[in-house]
Amino acid sequence: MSEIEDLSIAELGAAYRRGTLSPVEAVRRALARIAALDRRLNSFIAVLEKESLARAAAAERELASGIDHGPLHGVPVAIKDLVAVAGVPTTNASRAGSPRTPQEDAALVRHLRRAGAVVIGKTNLLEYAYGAVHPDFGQTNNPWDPKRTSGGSSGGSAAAVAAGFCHGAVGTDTGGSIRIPAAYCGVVGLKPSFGLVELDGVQPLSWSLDHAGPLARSAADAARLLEGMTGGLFPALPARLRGLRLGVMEHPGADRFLEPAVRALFEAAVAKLAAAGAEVRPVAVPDLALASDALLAILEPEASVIHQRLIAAEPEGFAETTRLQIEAGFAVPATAYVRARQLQHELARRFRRLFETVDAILSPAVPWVAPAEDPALGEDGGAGEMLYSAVYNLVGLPALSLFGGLTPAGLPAGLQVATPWQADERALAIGAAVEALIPPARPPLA
Amino acid sequence: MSLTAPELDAQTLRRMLRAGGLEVSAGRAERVLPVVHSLSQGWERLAGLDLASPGGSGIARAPE
Repeated sequence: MSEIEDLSIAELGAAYRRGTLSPVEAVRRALARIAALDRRLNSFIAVLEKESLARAAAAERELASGIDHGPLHGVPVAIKDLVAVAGVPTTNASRAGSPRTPQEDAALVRHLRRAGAVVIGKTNLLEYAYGAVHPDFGQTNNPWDPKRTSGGSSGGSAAAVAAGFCHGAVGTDTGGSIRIPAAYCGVVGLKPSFGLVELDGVQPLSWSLDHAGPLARSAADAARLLEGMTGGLFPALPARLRGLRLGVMEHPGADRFLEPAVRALFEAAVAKLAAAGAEVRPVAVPDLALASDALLAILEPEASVIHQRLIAAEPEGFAETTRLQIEAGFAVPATAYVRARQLQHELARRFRRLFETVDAILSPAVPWVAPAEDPALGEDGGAGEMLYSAVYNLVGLPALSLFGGLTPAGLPAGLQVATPWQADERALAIGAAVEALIPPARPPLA
Repeated sequence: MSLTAPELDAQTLRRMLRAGGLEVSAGRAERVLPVVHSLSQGWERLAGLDLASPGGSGIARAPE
């Protein structure tokens, strides 16, 4: 039998129901791996050892007595530490704002628990999901190469999934914060349609751009997590590729930022999809080059208003880069914000028209592999990192980052699949089909 | 137009931040200045857009 951490969520559930494995054994294995390996990765801020074992034991008793909550019953999951988990301090990976201990779970955690998931801990992130590591919490290192970052801001969730510490995790994404770490860590990350996953109990960064979504080791696992987070149904069986109309987005800026090794993997993936019968053609959207500018002109002032009281009361509690970004947001002219909102809606209209001619849009997820450190949001590197992801936060469309292969240096690259408004299941179904052509790989972690 | 150093000094930025709701020292404004310069290049590019609203509900719509 495979190691527990190698099992898919469906395989884990089948083993539980056959009686060859129990939720307590799975949680014990996850906790043991975290204890043995996470010192190198720093992916968890809090590990809920006693609570998760107690909940796993309860899940085990329920299954034995015929109570079955479905595919996530007894499955170990992790939650990004800006999402409320009742009784556990939320740090936001910051010293600004003393950690509050919520009395209630966030809505998405409540949904996951109702579906039977076992929360094993809270994962590390860039401070308040705003693009910088707080030195007190430190960087989450990459399971493929611990000298590199896992990316942000949901780097702890991505690294924990890649390292086999849990079978799925929750992240949030305001400009790429699920998809960028998913790409760097070689896992699946879905930024769902805007509003699909409830954000009640999630620390906001930008009301207009925030999304929460799953990170997992396969599209099918991500679908199960999305079901658990929303209470909806997303079967996401592998899509039929023959005749599928795929647009390859021409992103202005790609010539400047796209690394040759990532380009080669992307082109190879597109060639495999075409060979499998997909109808592939290049597509373009006017003014796409301004998507990152618009994103920042919305994100920065909204984040500054969100953090206004905290930055005034405890400015030194923030990492310097985060503090500078929050302060600078107070200077954004209202006219820039309004133009950005105009562009947001115009781009949404242009994507709606484009999706009359294609079923999905492909691009790399990030133009490069995991760097040593995360680039700052407002700098050139930050713009490059968000080159392919930011636009889908603006227009609110579902966008999935998949394992796109390994570069010659042995590092994963991400492949992004975007689909129309509320066609989240289509993105996951295409992802499942892609996985048959490019099977997911695991990092060489001991 | 982007805000270059001669056009935006720390004192002016400090007044802008105050108008936005944040009080900072002159020294702090000096530190924030390069970040605002960098952001202002994006504002300049957005200002070049011509997205005259056709009417209706304008920007007050949920993304879809």
